[in-house]
Amino acid sequence: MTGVGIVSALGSNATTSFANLLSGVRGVSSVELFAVEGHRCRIAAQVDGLDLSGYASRCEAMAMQAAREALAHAGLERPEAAAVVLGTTTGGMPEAETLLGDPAWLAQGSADVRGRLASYPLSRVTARLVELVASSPARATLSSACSSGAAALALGASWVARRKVPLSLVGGADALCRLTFAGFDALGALDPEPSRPFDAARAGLNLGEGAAFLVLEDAEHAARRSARILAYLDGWALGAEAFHITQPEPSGETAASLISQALAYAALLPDDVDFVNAHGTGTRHNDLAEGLALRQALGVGCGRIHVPSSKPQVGHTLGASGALEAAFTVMCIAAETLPPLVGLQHPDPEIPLRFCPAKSASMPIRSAISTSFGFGGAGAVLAFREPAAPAPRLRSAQRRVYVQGFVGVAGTTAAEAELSAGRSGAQVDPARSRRFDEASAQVALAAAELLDSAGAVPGQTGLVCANAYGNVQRSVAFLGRLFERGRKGVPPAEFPHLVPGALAGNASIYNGLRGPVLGCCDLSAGGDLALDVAAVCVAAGTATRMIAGAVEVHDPIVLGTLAPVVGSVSPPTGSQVGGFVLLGSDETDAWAEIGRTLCAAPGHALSLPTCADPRRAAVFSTAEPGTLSAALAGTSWQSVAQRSAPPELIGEAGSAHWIGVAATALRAGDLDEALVVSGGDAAVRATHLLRVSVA
Amino acid sequence: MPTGSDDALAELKRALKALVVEELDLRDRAAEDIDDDAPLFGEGLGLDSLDALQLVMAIEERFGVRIPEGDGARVAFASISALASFVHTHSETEA
Repeated sequence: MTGVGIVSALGSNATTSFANLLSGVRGVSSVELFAVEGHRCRIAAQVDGLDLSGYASRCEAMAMQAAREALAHAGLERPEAAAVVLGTTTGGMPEAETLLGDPAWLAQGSADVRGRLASYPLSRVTARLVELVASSPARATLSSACSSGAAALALGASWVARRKVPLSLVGGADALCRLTFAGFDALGALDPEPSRPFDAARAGLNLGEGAAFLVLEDAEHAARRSARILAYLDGWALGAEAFHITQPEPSGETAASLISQALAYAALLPDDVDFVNAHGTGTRHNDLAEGLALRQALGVGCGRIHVPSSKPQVGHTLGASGALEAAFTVMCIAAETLPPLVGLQHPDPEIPLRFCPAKSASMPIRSAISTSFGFGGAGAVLAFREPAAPAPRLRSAQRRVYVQGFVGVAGTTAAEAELSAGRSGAQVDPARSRRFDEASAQVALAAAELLDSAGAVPGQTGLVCANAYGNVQRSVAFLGRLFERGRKGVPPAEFPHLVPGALAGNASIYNGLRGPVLGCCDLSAGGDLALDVAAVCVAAGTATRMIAGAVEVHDPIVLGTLAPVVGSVSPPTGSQVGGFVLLGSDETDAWAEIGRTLCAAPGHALSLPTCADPRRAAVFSTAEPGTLSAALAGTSWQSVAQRSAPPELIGEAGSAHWIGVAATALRAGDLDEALVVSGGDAAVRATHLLRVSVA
Repeated sequence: MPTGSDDALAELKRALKALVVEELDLRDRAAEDIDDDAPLFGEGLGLDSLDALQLVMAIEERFGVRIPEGDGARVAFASISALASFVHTHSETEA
């Protein structure tokens, strides 16, 4: 890690934020960004004095400011090639919510404010971040609730470890908005007073906002340019509890296993760890479960290892929190300082850990871990080591990755039904799918069928589900109730289903998936991006098996209101489209091997691997014809036969289906290699698939 | 107790069962099959704390009663019968 940038309630840059963190300053005050009448809690950690000029949203402004700072801190003006990964949950919601929650405006509102909706897609922020690097061969917008920011670091590091890029610009950003504030308040999760993690009298969390970005660099690359190394990110673990959409697993078992996995990945023992930057939200259930997890994973080390939490000072910044806490952890290692835990007066006797005092202290830090756990049970643990340590030899990220199964998701029209490859016609179990919307039901069913067909163990399987917009209709209904009836009218059980990672989270709980469970929310990058993310999890050994795909359901608000403003490729006009593939590293029963995955700006040629025999190859495209010919221009793939997807598959999710169709053709031996190309306004992507005996 | 009140209570139970099925998305349950005296949480219907929050919101809104936090809520939510008595008593006194 060679650069850090932070925007938080403690300061508009990393230096100020860190100094205030160490002095025990709390950034929590009365909410001024919007009205909070009728809420139990009326305080939050807000970022003051944000310069919004030139940005579409608060989230974008904070993210860009933090990312620029991180690059400057690393001494990189405009990196040649870098992966860009953002973790977020609300994106441009603060700007869009008053429009989306107003039925009169939605029906026939004035057009002059419509531009505010341009900031709605989460990947809008990622698209801006990409401007900070010369080229971005890998990029993703991850949403796994409150572990999004940490998951972004893990993905960026995985891409570096796989030698796809020499460095990654990774982080998280989330702005306060009415939707999350009312949602958490309705769940009774907010402490009306400044929060007190791990205190016997703790009564919930305080929400916050902010952004943090880090530059993750291949050790050799950093050494070549004599960059100052702040700390090493030596290990990580991603996984899910498959327990409940809001409640943590009371035993802390899965969280403990993730902590152990991250340490094992980093070749660290509990004896090497000096502090654990806890998720430490301040809710009764989280802190109790996390305490149990730490005691299981660290054993007797818990008597010695310090436990701070920065949430009482910066609030719970949701999608940003994992990155923000990683940034603070890295700065503590670099500054040889133990961070504080403020607000703790009477430690909960049921959580016997060695909590940090309310004042920071000088102390050499050999290694530290940072934990993040979110809705749907999505967890991420990162393990960091001091810069004086030898450069880590990351476990080889070169495991081969194969497609091992495919199911299509299609709707009810005749043309769509033909696309329902591999489906048994099973219905979702009503008792296990309460409050699932149609997309959640489809993802849960597709995952169940893939697990069945391949005899995969759910507990060792993860899921990456791409979905560009989330369930807009459901968010609109929630906001409508908030604005019409006030906080009392907000349905608490709806709220956790509104986060973009809910599709993956629901499918994880339904099927018992306990591998990495992530949502990807990038426009015009559906299944292919999910596959890219899932493949690197398998390649890096973060998961044994992964399910990857995308689903988009018909949503009149997306179709009629958002898509025209955002300018995305058309969302489905039929009921739903999508597809899911199963990935693993075992060659037995493999359908096809995944070669390289590529990404370029639209209108540019992709740097594709040479096509060995154009007569035994095919290009499967869901991209616009112009985008496709530009992507293949001057490459050996130019003369290869092309199969264009039927119109039903043109959309955010169609590429997931088309990857499955290509893998099916390779399995049948009809082809030796295939290139699946998708793309729209934001990027053009390609996935290279190879027949297994050829590979 | 006058018959009118019994009828009102029976009607209230029917309405509460329908509300429970709808608000908690119990698609695999028919409202009339819910036992008046079965516990709503834990065993019984197997509902959890998130369901409780949702029910509190819905009942307060639909019936104009205020459900207390803590032990008071535990008593009110013991069963459909208990919930009906609570709503019946409090909507009368508050009306």
